[in-house]
Amino acid sequence: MKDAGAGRAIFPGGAPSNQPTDFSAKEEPISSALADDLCKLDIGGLRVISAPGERLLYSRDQSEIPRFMKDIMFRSLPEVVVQPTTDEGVAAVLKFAASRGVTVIPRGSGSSPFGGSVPVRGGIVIDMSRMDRIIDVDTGSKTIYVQAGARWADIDHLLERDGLALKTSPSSKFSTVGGWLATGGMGLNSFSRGHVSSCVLSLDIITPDGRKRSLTSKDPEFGALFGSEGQLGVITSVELSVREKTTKGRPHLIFFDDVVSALGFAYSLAKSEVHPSHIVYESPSKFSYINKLLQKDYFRKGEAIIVSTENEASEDRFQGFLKAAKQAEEKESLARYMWNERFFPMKVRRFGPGLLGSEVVVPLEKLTVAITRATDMCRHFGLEPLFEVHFLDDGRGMLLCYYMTDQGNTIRYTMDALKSMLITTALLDAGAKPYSIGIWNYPFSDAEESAKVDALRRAKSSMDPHGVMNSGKYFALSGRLGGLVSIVFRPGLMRPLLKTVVAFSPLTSRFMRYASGFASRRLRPKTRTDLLRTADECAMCGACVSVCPAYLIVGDERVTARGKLLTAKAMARGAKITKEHAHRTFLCMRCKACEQVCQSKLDLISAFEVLEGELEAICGKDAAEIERFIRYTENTPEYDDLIERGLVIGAPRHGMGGGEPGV
Amino acid sequence: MAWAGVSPVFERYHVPFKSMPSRVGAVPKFVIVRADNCINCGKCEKACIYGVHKRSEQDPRKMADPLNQLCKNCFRCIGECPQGALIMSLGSEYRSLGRGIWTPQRIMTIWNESETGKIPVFGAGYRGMFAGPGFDGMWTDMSEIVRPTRDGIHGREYISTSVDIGRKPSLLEFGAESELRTKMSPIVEQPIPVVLDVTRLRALNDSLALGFARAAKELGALFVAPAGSLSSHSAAALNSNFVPVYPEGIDWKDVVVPKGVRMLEIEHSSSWKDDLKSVKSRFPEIVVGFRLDAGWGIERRVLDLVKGKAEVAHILFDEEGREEGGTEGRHMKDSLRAIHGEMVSKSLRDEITVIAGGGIAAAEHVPKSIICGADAVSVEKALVIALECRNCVTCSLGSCPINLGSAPSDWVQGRVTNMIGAWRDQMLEVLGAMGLREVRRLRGELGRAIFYEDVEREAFTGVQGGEMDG
Repeated sequence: MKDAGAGRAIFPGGAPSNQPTDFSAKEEPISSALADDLCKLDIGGLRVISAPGERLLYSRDQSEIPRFMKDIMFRSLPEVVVQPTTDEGVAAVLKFAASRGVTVIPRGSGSSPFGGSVPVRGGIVIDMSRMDRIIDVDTGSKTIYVQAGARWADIDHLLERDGLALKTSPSSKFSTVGGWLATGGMGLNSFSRGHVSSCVLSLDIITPDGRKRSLTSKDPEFGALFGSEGQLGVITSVELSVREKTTKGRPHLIFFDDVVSALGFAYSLAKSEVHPSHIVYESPSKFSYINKLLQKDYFRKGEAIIVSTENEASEDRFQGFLKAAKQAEEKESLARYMWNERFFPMKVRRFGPGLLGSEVVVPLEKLTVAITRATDMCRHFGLEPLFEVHFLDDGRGMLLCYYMTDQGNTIRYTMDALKSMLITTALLDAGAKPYSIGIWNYPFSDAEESAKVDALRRAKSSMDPHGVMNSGKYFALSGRLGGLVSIVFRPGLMRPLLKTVVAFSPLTSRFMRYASGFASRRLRPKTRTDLLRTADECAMCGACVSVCPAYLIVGDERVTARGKLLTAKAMARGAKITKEHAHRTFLCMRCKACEQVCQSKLDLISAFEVLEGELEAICGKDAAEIERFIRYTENTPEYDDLIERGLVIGAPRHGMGGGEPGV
Repeated sequence: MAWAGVSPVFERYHVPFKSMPSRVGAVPKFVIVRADNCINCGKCEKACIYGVHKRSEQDPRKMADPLNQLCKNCFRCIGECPQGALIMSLGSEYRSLGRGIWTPQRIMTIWNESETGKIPVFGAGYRGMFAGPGFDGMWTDMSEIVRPTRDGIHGREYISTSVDIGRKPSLLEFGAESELRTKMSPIVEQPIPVVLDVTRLRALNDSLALGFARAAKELGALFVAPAGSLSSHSAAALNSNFVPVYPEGIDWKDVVVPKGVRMLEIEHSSSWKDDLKSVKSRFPEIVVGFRLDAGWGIERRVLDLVKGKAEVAHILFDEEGREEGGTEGRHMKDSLRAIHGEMVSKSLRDEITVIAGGGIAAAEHVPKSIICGADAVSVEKALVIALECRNCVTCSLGSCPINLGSAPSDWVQGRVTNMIGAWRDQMLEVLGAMGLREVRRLRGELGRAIFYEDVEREAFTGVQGGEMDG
C-alpha cells in the first residue's frame, strides 16, 4: 500500500524458507562382501560402515601406537563397523557374526588406552555410541534406566535437573556406561561409593546367540561382567541407582613436603570417621604442569592430597580432622580448580606432545613402596613421572603413573612405550594388579586375581561358548606373524623378560636414556605443521565426539574433531582420502563444542580451517551439501537440546576462558 | 480559465513516497557485538525479524557480522542467544552525530523519514527527561493518546494542511452596488504549511539546488532562495514555486523577476517601506515578504510591518531556534507567542502571514510553531540533514565526509519529498487527534498546548519554600 510508505519491507529477515526436512551425507560405496551381506539383512536403524577411511577410526582407541607396529602385530582394521540403534539390531548383528564365525568387538567411546575395543583379527566392531538414550529417571526410587551407549556426562546433566547425582563415575565423563562397566568400574567417588557394580541394579546383555538376558546381582555371571572387556556379549541397557545431590560439601587441597607424610595423612583420613566422598593423591609434577598451563604459579609444587567432602556433616568432621592433624589447606578456589581437573587428566599431554603410562590397583600398604620404586625407575630412564592415586573403598588405591613422550618421534615413542611396560612390571612386583588388560597389558594378565579370571572363564563358557565376542584377547592374544606376537606377549615369556630388564635396570636404563636422548635430538621430525602438531597433541579421548552436533546428524566419527585430526594424520602418512571422506570433513556447525570439552585445550577450529583448505585443494567442496546440512541441523530438536545445554556441560556461557582459578 | 472544456479533477493532496536508500551506508544506531563464545547456532538468525543476523554467504557454517543498521533495538536476539554472546550498545558514531538541538535521535529520525517516508516509531519506550529546553518544554495536550483518528490519517476524514500566504483583510467593504470596495491583496495558497528555504545554507551547488527545487515543486511548496542563485535550469523547473530573495534598497526599475514568480522576499531594513512601495508599484500581483532576524523588539518590528501593509513576515531564528544573542535570546516558541499575542491584541493578526524559520529540526516542531502563532514554517537545515549530512562543525562541500556535493538531484528530490511527506503525516496525526480538519485552525491555538513553565508555576504557586525558616 502506497500510503504505508515506500522502502524496505519491515520483515526481510526471519528464517529462510525451504528448510530441508531431512539430510543424509553422501555415503561411500559398500566395499566388502561381508558389509554387503549385512546390508542385505536390512536391519532397522543399523548403519553399516565399510569405507576404509571411516573403519580406520575403529582400529585404535585412546592410545597412540605407531601404525607400523600395530600393522605388523595385529589385524586391527575391522572388516565392518556397525552402529545399531536398537536391541534387535544388536541381536541381529551378533547372530549374523556367529553364523559367519566372525569375531565381534563391542565399543563404547574408545577412551581407554589399553586396546580392549581394538580388533586384533579384523571382525565386526559394534559401535554402541548411537544407543545413548536415557530411557527413564525415577526420582522416587532414585534409579535410572539407560542404554549402554549413554555417556556419563549426559546422565549427570539430566540428573542434576532432578537434584540427583551419580554415585560414582569414571574420570572420562564422556565414556559410555557400557564401556566403563566392561573395562574397570573404578573411578571418582570409588572411595565412598565403592565399585560401580554396587550401584548397578540390573543390566541387559545380548549374547552371540541373539538372546537378551537380564542380569542382576543374583545371577552368577553378574560379577564376571564387570571388567569382562567384551568377552561375554554386548551390554545394551543398564539400570543404575543414583544418589541425591548434596551441596554443602566441597573439595580441599592440602600440600605436604614428602610423599610419605602425604600418603600417611590420606591413610589416617581414610580410616577415620570423616568419610569423605573421595580422596586423591597428586604428585608435585602435576602442579608444575598445571602452572605451566595457566602460565602463572598458582600452585605450590608439593605432594598433594585432594579430599572432597560430601555434605555438611562430613565437611565439619573433616575440618576437625584437619585441625587435629595440624595441617593447613589451600584456598578453596585452588581446591575447586584441582577438583574440576579430575575430569581432564589428559590435559598435560600437549607438553609432549604425547602421554604414556600405566594404571594399576595397589593395596594401600604397598603404595609408598610402589611409588618410590616407580619414581626411581623413571629417574633412571630420564622421565619425569606424574602420579595420581584414587583411593578405593576396599583398602586399595588406583595408581596412575604418567610421563610425557613425543609421539611424533617414532623411535623415542616406541622406547617410551617399552618403558611403560617396565614400569608396570616394577609396580606389579611391588604387589599391584593391572587395572585393565586390553591388548597392551596382556603380558600382565597372569597377575590378575585367579578367582576373577576363573569367574570370567565360567561366564564365557555359558554365554559365548563359540568364542565370538572379542576373541583373540584376554585369555589368549592373537596376532600376525604366525602367532609370534602372542608368544612374545605371553605372560610366561614376557614377564620374566621384563623382570630381567628391570633387574638390570641401571645398565638398561643407561642404554635407554642414551638412545632416547639420541632419538629426541637427532630423529626429531624435521617439519611438523601446526595441524599435525595439534593432531599429535590430541588426547583421542573422544570427549568431542559426545558433544558434536554433526556427529549427531551424520553418525560418522570423521566429522568430529577426533576424526578430523585423524584424517589429518592419515593425509600426512599419504593415505588416499576419498571425495566423500573429504566432503564429510566440511560438515561442521562451527559450534566450538569440541574446543570447549577438549582436555588438551586445542585450537581446533583453526586446525579445521587448515585441514579444510588442504582437502578443498584436492577434492573441492560441496557447498550445497554444507548448506543443506546446516539448514537441516539447526532445525532439529536434538540440536536445540544441545544448544540448551550450552552444547557442553560446564562450558562457560558468558565470556570466554574459565581456565583461571578464581584467585 | 484553463478549466474550460475540461472536467475538473478533484483529488486529495498526497505526497508519494519512493524508497531512497542511503548513499554512504547508514550509521547504525545500535551496534551489536558478537563475542568469541558465539557458537554459530543460528538462533539469532531465526529470532531476528529484521534480518540483522544472517549466516555468512561464503561459509554458512559461520554467522556473518550483524547488519547493525537494520537493528531496531528489540533485544530479541540478545534474549534468545543461548551463549549470552551478543552485546548491544548505542553506536559511538551515532552518539557523535550532530550537536545542540540536532541530537543524534533527531538526525537519525530525519534520515529514516527521508529514506522511507514512514512515520518514525520508537518502540523501546521513552527514557528521557520529562521536559527540556525549547520545543521540548511544550506538549500538545496528550491528544494523540486520548483520541486517535477514526480510520487512520489517510482515511475518510480529509484533513487539510493548506495555508494561504499573503495579506488577508480584517473586514470586507462593499459599495452601494454591492461591489467589493476592499482592494484584495494577492494570495499564494500552499497545500502544506512548510516552505523550503536554502538562503542560509552554507553548502549548495546546482545539483542540490535542482533537487530541492524539484522537491518543492512536487510538494507544491514554495522554495526560497537568493535571486540569481539558481541556474536558469533550476529556476525553470520551479516556475511558480520559486521565491527569489533580494537584498534591501536595490533599484527595482531594472529587476527582472523570473517568469511565473508569485512571491518574493526582501531583506528587512529600516527602509523597508520604500522597498515595498517600489516593488508593489512594479509587481502588484506578487506577494512581498520581508525577512527579519528575530531579536530584540521583534514584536514591534512585525507590528510595524502590519501597519505598513507588508504581506508576509519571514522571521528568522538561528539553528537552535533562538533569537539573536544565542542562549540569551528567547526560543522561537516564546518569541512567536509574543508576536502573535501582540497582533491579536491589536486585532491585526490576519493582515500579515508569519513564516518562522530556523530551529525546525523535527516533524513535531511544525505543529508546535503553528500553535505558537506561525502560519507556516520554513525548513532549512533539515533539508541537508535529509541528505545524510552529519552536521559537522566545519562544513564545506570540499571536505564533506559524505560527499554531499555529488548527490544526484533526483535522489535529493526523493529524500526531501519523503521527509516533508512524513512530517505532514505526523501533522495529520496531531490534527486528527485534536479533531481539527485543517491546519489553519491550529494557528495560535495555545489552549491545545501545555507549557512546562505554566505547569511548574501552577504546581508551585503558594508552596512556601524553606528559606524563610533560615
